[in-house]
Amino acid sequence: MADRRSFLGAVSGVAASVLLASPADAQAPPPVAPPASPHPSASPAAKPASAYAVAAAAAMRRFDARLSDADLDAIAHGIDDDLHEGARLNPHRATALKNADEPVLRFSVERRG
Amino acid sequence: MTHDGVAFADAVELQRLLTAKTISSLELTGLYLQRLETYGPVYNGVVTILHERARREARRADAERARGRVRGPLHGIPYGVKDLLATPDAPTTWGAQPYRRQRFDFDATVVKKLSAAGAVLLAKLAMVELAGGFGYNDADASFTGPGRTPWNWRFWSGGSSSGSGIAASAGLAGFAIGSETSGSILFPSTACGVTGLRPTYGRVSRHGAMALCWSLDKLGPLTRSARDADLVLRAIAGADPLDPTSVDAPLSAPRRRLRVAVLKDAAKGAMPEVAANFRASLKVIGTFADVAGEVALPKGPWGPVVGTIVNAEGAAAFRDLIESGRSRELRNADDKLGGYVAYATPAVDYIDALRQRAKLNAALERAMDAYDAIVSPTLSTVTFPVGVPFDKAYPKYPGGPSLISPGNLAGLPALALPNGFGPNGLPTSFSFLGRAWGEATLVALATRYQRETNFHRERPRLLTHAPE
Repeated sequence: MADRRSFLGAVSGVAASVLLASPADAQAPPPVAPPASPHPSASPAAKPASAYAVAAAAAMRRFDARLSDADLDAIAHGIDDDLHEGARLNPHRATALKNADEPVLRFSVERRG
Repeated sequence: MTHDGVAFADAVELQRLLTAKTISSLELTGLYLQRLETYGPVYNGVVTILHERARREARRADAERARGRVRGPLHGIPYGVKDLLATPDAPTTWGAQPYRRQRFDFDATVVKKLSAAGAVLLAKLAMVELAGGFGYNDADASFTGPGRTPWNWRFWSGGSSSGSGIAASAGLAGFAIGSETSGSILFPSTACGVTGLRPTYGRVSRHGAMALCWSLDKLGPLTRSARDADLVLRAIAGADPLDPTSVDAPLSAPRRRLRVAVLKDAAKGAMPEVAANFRASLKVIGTFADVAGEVALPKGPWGPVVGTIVNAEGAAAFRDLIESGRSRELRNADDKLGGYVAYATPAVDYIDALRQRAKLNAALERAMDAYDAIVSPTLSTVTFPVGVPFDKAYPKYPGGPSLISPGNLAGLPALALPNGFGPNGLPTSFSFLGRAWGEATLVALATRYQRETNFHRERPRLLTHAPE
């Protein structure tokens, strides 16, 4: 199952299927991974969501009591997909993060010359 | 010149007509207002037409011109803005039902700057709800309905700057302003066959613009030529005390033969027409620039990094909406629930994404060091059919590496321009990715390309009614 987070990475306005498939993105990667979707109709045959994701999804009912069980299931699968993506953020390869690698807390583009 | 000829002229040509008094700004504004009324609803390109403001600004422009005052090359030129820019004249909807009645009492800085340049604001243009931050997977993701490309009504205009692409493509305005977090200018430029310029992060103030992702959002023009994109960028660029990320930086291109690299495997897995048009474009580029071989995109988790940042910042930006339970009012089924998924993004993932960002951006900078630009097809396919999930539209054409996520992550400028057509009469395009603050270099390259080709002058045949 593809990753919603990759999808979002490509999309904030752009379609996933054309942009997801960046080999450079992918330490492990589906060239044409369909974007995971939190939509209830998506992935009906998906394996059950993790207990963590189910619990986190259930907590969303505090914001909208009308979220159905199918909604929560879809949200839980979306959370699992994102957790999977989270694991790809720090691959054990050339781009692995080291202890001293600092985050870019205030992004700006450097001016030279 | 015919009405159509005027409507589809680029801003440079329109300024010639205004200078020669062939047409007044008020007449030009009237022409575009009429076209917005006629074609806007057919293609779902418009949210609000600002009749009164447009006529007022046009009359002002004409009066000033009559007195010998011309503010610059955009004086009297009508334009539209993506409906995420604040104006006091109408609601600013962000494309989303929960914000349909939202009002601001000021003009966004970009609108102020264009007003100061003498341009005439015609309309607030349609967009994907919340600029697509909640993960939509089909075109029907705006309360105005799916944006439709003027080239083929049954296909998507691209997003999230849907209406901006439609307006530039269908001759509904002299030019349009859009925004990009990760692809929202480049995609609709491709889908609608227009020229789109994504500026360097910080080049253009975002004060008064909806925030989706503070560290990725940019505003830029969608136009009918690269020379227009240059004019518009010069009018809207610059430091603004109301946006601390904005800066003044020179806009100048080197006076030497430019050096362009081709993204390695760029056309791999692309639709055959996209690949063929790209190869043809490289031949043209080779007549005026050094095409200096291929460059590989540095390895790294580009997609997950951008996705995590958009998730975390987007959930924070729309925390009120998510916590209110009103996400269910959004149009797109995926968007209704996507905010909850984003809300659950672990803080450690966000921080790791920001840590990777530093490393990846440095790697991209090194890869680009010897070149003025990297060129690649903007997308691996033509745009998608309305009514088909994006991931189901063209499964045969996964595409090769894309510069959209890396370019946005690094805050680099890019310029997309049409280079032919593919299946169903739909446009294809390629893009130049530039070095930081190198917009003028991209414009120089694109202007030369458009001097040698006519793809940017092609016009769609428009429908006056939606097909049954």
